[in-house]
This record gives sequence, C-alpha cells and structure tokens, in this order.
Amino acid sequence: MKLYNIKFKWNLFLNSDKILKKYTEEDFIIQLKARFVFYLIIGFVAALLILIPITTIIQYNNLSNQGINRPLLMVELTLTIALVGYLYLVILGYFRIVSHLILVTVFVTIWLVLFLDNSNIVAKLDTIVYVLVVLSAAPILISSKKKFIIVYTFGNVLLLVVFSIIVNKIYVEFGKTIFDYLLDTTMAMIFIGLVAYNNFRINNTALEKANNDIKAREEAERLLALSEKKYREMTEFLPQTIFEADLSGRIIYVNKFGLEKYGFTINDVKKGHYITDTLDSADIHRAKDNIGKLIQTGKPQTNHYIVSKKDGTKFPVQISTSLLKEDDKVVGIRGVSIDISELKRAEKEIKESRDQFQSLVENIPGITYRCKLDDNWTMLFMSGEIESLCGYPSSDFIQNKERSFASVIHPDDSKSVTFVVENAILNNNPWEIEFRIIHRNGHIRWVYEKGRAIKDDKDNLLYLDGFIFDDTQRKTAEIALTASEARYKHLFMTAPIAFSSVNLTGEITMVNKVFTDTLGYTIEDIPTIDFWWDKAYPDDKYRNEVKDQWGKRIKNAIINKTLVEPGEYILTDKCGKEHTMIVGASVHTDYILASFIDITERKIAEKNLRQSEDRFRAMIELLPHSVFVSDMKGRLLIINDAFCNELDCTKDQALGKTPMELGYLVDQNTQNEVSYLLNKIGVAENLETTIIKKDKSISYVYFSCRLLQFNEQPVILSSSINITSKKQIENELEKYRLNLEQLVKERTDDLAVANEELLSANEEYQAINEELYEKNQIIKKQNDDLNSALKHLKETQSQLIHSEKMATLGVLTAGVAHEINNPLNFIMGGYIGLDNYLTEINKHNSTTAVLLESIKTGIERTSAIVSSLNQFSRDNEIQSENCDIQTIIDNCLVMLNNKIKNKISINKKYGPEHSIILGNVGKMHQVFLNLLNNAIQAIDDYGVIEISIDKQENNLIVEISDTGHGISRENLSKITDPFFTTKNAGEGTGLGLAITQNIIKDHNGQLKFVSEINKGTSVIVSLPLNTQQ
Amino acid sequence: MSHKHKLLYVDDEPINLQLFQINFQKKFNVLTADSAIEGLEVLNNNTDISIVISDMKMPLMNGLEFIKLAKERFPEILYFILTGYGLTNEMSEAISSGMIIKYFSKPFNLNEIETTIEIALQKNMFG
Repeated sequence: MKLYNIKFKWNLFLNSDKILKKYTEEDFIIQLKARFVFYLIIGFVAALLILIPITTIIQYNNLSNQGINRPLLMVELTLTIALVGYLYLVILGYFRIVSHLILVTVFVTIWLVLFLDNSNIVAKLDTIVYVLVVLSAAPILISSKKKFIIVYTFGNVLLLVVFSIIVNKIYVEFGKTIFDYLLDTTMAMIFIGLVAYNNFRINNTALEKANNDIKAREEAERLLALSEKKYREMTEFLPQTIFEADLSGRIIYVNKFGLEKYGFTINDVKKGHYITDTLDSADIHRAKDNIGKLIQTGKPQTNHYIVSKKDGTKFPVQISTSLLKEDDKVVGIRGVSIDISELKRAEKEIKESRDQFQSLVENIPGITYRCKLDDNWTMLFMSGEIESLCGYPSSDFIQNKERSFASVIHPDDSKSVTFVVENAILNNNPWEIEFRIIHRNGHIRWVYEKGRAIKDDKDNLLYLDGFIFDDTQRKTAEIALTASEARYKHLFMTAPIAFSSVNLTGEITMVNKVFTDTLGYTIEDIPTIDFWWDKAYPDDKYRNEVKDQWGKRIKNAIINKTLVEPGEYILTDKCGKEHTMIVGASVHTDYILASFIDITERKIAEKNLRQSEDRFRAMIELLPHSVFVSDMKGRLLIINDAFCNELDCTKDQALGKTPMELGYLVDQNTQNEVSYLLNKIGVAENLETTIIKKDKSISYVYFSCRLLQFNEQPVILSSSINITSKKQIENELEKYRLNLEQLVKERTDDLAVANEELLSANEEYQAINEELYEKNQIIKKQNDDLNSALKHLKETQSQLIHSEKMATLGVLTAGVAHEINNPLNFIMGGYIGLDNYLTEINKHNSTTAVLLESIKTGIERTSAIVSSLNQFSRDNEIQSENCDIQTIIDNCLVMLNNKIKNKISINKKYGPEHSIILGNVGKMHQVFLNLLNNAIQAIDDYGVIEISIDKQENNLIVEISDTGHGISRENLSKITDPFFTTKNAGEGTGLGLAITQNIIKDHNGQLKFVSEINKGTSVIVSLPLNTQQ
Repeated sequence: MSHKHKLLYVDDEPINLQLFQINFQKKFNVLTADSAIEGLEVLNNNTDISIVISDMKMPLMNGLEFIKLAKERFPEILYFILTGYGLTNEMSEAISSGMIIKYFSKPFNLNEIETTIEIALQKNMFG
C-alpha cells in the first residue's frame, strides 16, 4: 500500500503523458522517441548532479593534481544547464531540434574532454568509446532524416582524424600503435554508423508498411459497414416482418415493419421476447414441431399460424423460416412473416356465399310430405323445413319415430283437419285447409295445407301427398284486422258525438249511445229511415223541406266524393222536445254514417247574449255623454248618439274610423297618460283634458276609458264628459275673483277710514248704529273673503320668491365657482411646475411625493365640488340638453357628501349603460338634489339610500329608497302641495317637492311615492327616454 | 422637437400667465398677454403664432370677444378657451360654430391641453 502510494506520487511527478501532451497528435514512434529523450535527459541531469560533487571532492582531495580541475567542472556545469534547457524544449514540443542538440552536445563534450584532458594517453583514448556508444544511439534520437546519421558518423571520423594528428604530435612515442588504434576505431565508427543508418531505415519502412496496412484494413471495414448498413436498411424497410431468433427461440432481431405490425418496441425485444410469445396457444406445439423439422433437415419451412399483437388482437400469418448459420454452425432461425388476413377473409367470404346459396336451395318454402291416412298421420317422408315450423326435425315424424304429426296439430283443429281430409278423399278432391300447429317452444303457428290422395289403379288409397306452408304472418294480420274492426265499432258506439248508420236499403243498422242519450231513440224505435223521418221531424212541411235538402246534399257528396255538407236542423226527440242540431254525414260504399251535434244550449245562450247586448246598446244610447268602443288600433266599433252629436257626424261615417280621423284630437300629454295607465292598470278615469275638434274649437272634457274583452277581442271603452261650459264659468269666476280682490283691497282701505270715522262718531250716530252693525257684518264677510284672497296671493308670492331665490343662487354659484376655479388654477399650475422642477433637479423623494399628491387630491376634490355647483347655475331654459341621469345623481351626491358622510351608506344599482334623457341639465340637478336631500333628512341616525336606475320600455325609471322614518298615509297625498312641510320652521319651505313635481311634469315624467311609517320611503321618477337618440 | 410652435396665452391674472409659461415652455414657445388688447398687439407683432388660448372672463373684452376679433385677422390660428366657468350657452355656440376648437376648464389639465393641441395641429396640417 505504501509502495503504491509512492509510485503514484512518482507518476504524478513525472507523468510523461501529461507533460508530453504536445506529442499526442504525432505518430507513435515520435511519441516513444520523445518519451525516451525526455527520460534520457532527466537521467543525464540526475547523473551529472551526482557526478559534479563527487569529482569535485575527488579532485579536491587529490592534491597531487594541483587542486580542482576548473575547465572540467565548467564543462560539467554548462552541460547540466544545457540539458535542463533541452528538457524544457522537449516539453515545449521541439523534440526534433533537441535530439540533434543532444547529439551535438554529447559529441562536443566528448571531443572537448578528449582535446582538453591533460591525463595520460590511455585515459584520453578510452573516451572515444563514448563516441561509439552515442553514435549507436543516434537512430533512437533522430526522427526523420536518416542522412543525419551519415553526417554525424563522418563528422566524428573527421574529428578523430584531427585528433589523431594532434595526439601523434604530442605522444610521439606511441607512433604506429596509435595509428592502428585510431584506424580500428574509425572502422568501428563507420560500421556503427552504417548499422544505425540501416536500422533506422528498416524501422521506418516497417512503420510505413504497417501504416499502409492499417489504412487498407480501415477502408475494407468502411466498405463492409456501408454494405451492411445498406442491407440492414433494406431489411428494415421491407413491407414484411423479418425476424431472427436464436436456438432457444428468443427473438434477437425484428425489422421496423415487424415491430410496427406486432405493436412492439425495440425495448420489448431487448427485454427478451420468444417466438412462442406471439403465437396463438393452439399453434405453439405445431410451430415447435416445424422448427425442429427445419433444424433437422435444413429445408426452409412455410406454415400458417395465428399470431397476436402486443395488444392481443389476433391475425393469421404465413411464416417462412430458414436456418441462421454462422461459420457453418446453426445459431438460430430467420423468418419472414406475411399477414394473410385479407386472404383469409376472402376465403371466408367465398365460403359464406357458398353456404348462403346452399341454404337458399334448402329453404324453398313449403314442406312436402307423404303420409298414411291414419290417426297419427304417419309420415313416410317429410322435408327438413318442418323443423323451423314446429321445432322438431323431420326424422322425428318418419314412421312416428319420436312423435306423430297428429301430436303437433292444435287439439282444437285436429277434428276439423281429419274431417276435411277424409271428406276430400271420399269425393276424390284435393283439399286445402288452414290449421294451427303447436311449436316446440309453445307458440302457435298457422299453416296452410294443400294435399291430395294418391291411389292405385284399383282405387286403393296408397298414401297422401301434400305441401304445408307457414301462414302465421298472414293469419296474424287477419286476426289483428278483426280486432281492429271491433275496436272501431267500440269507438263508434262510445264516441262523444251522436252517430247513426243507414244502409242503402234505408235500414238503420246502428245508433250509438250518445245518439240514444241525446234523442232518446233506440234502434228499435227507428228500424228504418222512414220511421226516423216521421219521428224526428213531425211537422210535415218542415220534414219535406229537410228531406229535399238532404237528398240534394247527399247527391252532391256522391258526385264530388266529399262529405255531406252539414246543416242546422230542429229535431224532435222521443219525448217531443225540440233540439237544434248540426247534422252531417259521410257516404260510404254500402252505408251512410250520419253525425248529430246538439247545439240547443248554445243557441239559447246566443239568444240571451243578443238580448243583453241590445239592452246594453240601448243604455249607451241613453247616456248624455260620448261613449265609444274602439279596438286596439283605435278604430271605432260602437258609438252612441252623444258621440255623433259631439263630433257632428253620423254613425255610418264614424264606425271603422279612428277618433283622430274624425277630427277628435286629444292632447299629447293625455294620450301618453292614458296609454300608460291602460298598460299599467287597464283603467284611466276622469282625466281632465282638452279636445280639439275639426273646426279647431277646444272642448274641455273629463275623459275615462277602460280595457274590456269584447267577443274575445281586447277593446277600449271610452267616455268623455264635456265640461267646457263648466270650465268657462270657472275661468269667469277666476277673473271675477281677481277683480274682486283688487276691489276689496281698495274698499278695505276706504272702509278702514270710514270705520274709524264711524267709531269716533259712535255716540252721535247711535240711531244708525244698528244699520252700521249690519254693514259691518257685510264688511267682515268681505274681509274674510279678502283674507283668503290674500293668503292665496301670499302663496303665489312665496313661490315667486323661491324661484327668484333659485335664480339668484344660480348666478351666485356661477360667480363663486369661477372665483374658486381661478386660484385652483394657480395651485394646479404651481403643483405641476413644482413636480416638473423636482424631477428636473432630481430631488423627488417619498416625502415630496406625499406632499405633492395631497396638493393634487385637494385640487381635484375642490374642483369636483365646484363643477357640480356649476350644474345648478345653468340658467338656461333649454329643454333639449342631453341629461345623463347617472352623472347628475353622482354630482348631487358630491354636493351632499358632508350630509351623507359617516351616516348613510349609498347603494347604487345603475342598470342601463346609458341613462341619457332630453331635458334641462340644471333643473334635473335640482330634482335629484331635492329628492336625495329629502331621503337624507328622512334618516335620523344611520341608514341606507338605494338608488336604482332602470329602463322600462321607453322610460327611464329612477328609484331612490331610503330607510328613514317614512311618510304617513294622510300626508303622502299632500307632500307635493306647495308649502306642505313636516319639517321644523326654517328647515324647509315646503316648496321642494312641489317644484320637483313641476319640473318632472315639464319633462313629461312622473313622480310617485311609496312609503311606510318607520320603514322608509321610495321615490320613483319616471322620465321618457328619447328613443331617436 | 426641431421646432416649437408659438402659443399665445391671454389671462388677466399675472400668476396664471407665469405658471402657464413655466409649465408649457418645454412644448411650446409661450407668449403671454394680460388683456385682450395686449393679446391683439402680440398677435400683430408675431404673425407666426399658431395657437391661442384665452381666459373667458377678462375686463373690457371677454375671451370670446377677443377671439372673434383675432380670428377675423388671423383665421389660420387654432383658438381655445381656458376658463373657470362651466360650459355656458355662448361657449357651446362658439364651439359648434367652429370659432374655438375646445374649451378647457380651470384648474387646467396639462395632458389634456397638450394632447388636444397636438391633435388639432396635426389635423390642421393634413386637412
């Protein structure tokens, strides 16, 4: 463990792969060479580092050599430094240069030592051995150019020659020996050089060859891969399933089509899937056998199997298998599976059609039989269809093997079958018979049999031949028909209308229950039509009339193939009572069906009604007022004489026209009011209105009308009472009253003076005192009259004062608004300027934001108040401004905010998007301010005001409901009277609602109050919407 | 903005004039006059004025009277009223007759004024 650690560290320290990563792109030889050089240099350096101190110490101790050999030490040190430099260059990637540098350095060093060493000749010549050694190492160092080896060899040889000459001069005494030595050495050098050269060349050639081999193999592999890919793709995309499996049956390959076909993924196959997994369990055994055969014989096999997909759906396939071999050894099987569902289906279809044909042949209807004439109907032959008829196979009946044919015949029919057949045989006739057979399942089947007896020459009965047909359907239909007939008969008998049926001979065949109930006659009473005529129409003349008419009608009906035209006749019942009846009839091939509807009751009702209508008409005529009935379009249906007189027209002229067409114009307000009231409550009563007639004269009338149902149609009954003369008198009176007031006023002054005079002269004029007293009484009375006139004047004056006050207030608020808006404009300007200035010099902070925001909010709020004030100052009389009621109410709420705050919660329910009416904006403000103010004052402590705006037909409905103290019933009718107030003196003038009422009236609107004491009040304002806008 | 439009503001309140100048000088080259008479003088001396905004209630001559006179001589200029009054009858008549384009109410709304003028200028340029 410890050792490993050290080795690990060492590796870390000298991990040549990491250090020499510059060479990873080079070929392998260079890599190896570089690594060699790398370690070589390290080796050298290490050796030198050990060598230098040792030689130094040796030289230092060996004093005889005159101390340290400085040149040697210098060489060694230089070498060390140079080597370290080379090491660095190797790491940098300059291996090629370094290899030469090393060689050159080593050679230079050796030769320097040779030339400079002062030791004896033997020691000198030894050193040449190193040249040989280094030279032999040249092919390892040199990388590419082999000629360098020659250069180095001959360089050294040259140096050796030079060296020999020098040595020969110095060491003369050796002479020939040295020459010999040097010659040998030279030869050795050249030899080593040649060997190294060839060594290098062989190495390089081998390398080149190896490289070429590798390339050739790579190319071959590439081509192989290409071809493999091609085949694989072909296989993949073949439109048939191709699979391979090993000898255990495990699937090792399936092409793409196969995966899709069987619904598998490649992962399913990888997980381990066996051929037997897809095969239908019934086929597994056979498949195993077939595979065994394949492996034994080696012959490809083709078989049909049923296989299942992953989702379990099964389909038929044809699988062809062959052996999968590798190196002549069987390793598995390969197969192609082809879906043969289509093939199978076609096969099946053909088979089915064949079967159908066969069954068709077999199912020719009718059962043929041959039997004996005995109690059992013993069968000799019977076709197979008998089974479908009775549920037993034909073989059961042959020779009565299981049962006799007689046993399946319905017991009720067996006698008649025997009878018919025996009779026919006796008369030598074929027979036809219908009877019932009891099916095995208990159902009854109707059959129709046709047969004949076969006899021999001597007239001996041999056997019976025949056909039996299934007749159940027809028979069932027949039975159903009979049942249906019975049902219709029942229907006829119990129908809620009287019916009778007469056949062509005049025989009455049927009368139903209602007939008898109504007229009392039973069929016994009227066996023929003649009886009927006599009884139902006892009057000869009438009877003949009716008979005549009927004859014609029935004739017409027969010719035109229609129903007989119904007629109304008076029939006499069994008790002699007369009935009015509508008689109709339908003519059939062999009978006539007559219907009778009793309308006696209706006739009586009609008669009564007519009498009542006459009475009503007479009453209307008697009325001194205009009375008229019109339909919903206004067309006159009934009018009385008074109406005609009023309009100066005749009844014929008026009927069918509208009053307007006759020049009877009711003013528009009344029309609106009337239609509103009729819609709402169906009645309008005593509306005082004016009517403009053709001649433009104006009449004052009290107009009433009421919605009625007349002949099931809605009509309007209207009446108008002319009050023109009354009105004129009133006007005269009013005029007179005004004159009187003036007169009284003048006279009062006079009288006051006179009175005083009279009083002072009282004593003197005792005699006339009584007279005066009398006069005084008159004056007093006149005074009272005067007082009441004055009171009235005072009221008028107050109203005037109020409207003047409102006008003044308007001017005032306008002025005030302007005067406030101007300084507000200063503040706004200052605020915006300040805001911009602070932004410019970047001095905005949270405090300035709060301060500026407060200024802005203040301006906005003040401005809103002023602007709502402004709305009241609008002094125009224009009635056609667009008044947005929502905005107006919101304005009023701003004005009243200080009264609402903390006391009342406002609940707005603004329905329609637009609530714009035509009117006067200022006055509308006045209306809602007033109503809202009342609502607020009605609430003592806390409460809710709900304001809802809604559209109803052409009206805008504003409802203001408060939860205040409410208005009592007796006050409710008076609240719109001028000067009526429940508030304390000074709090209200009593004019608010009167003015509000007037404004709303001017806008063609309505004002209504609903109130309950202590619960609250709802004010409903209805204003007409201008629909054109 | 390569070129600022010249705008004349007429109001008898000096504070209003000062504040208007400060607040609108970024967008417009603002000239001011403290009366209708002075306003007409300024218009005479600066024929390149394209917008005039005037107060309504001023001594001697009110805003609409002033604009009526000015419009006779300078019909190309866009005229506006800035007033503390609500919409009066004569004002709505002036708008419907096209004498002024719009009236602004005091306290003024900077954005409203700037946008309205910009739209009016564009309309004037193209139509």
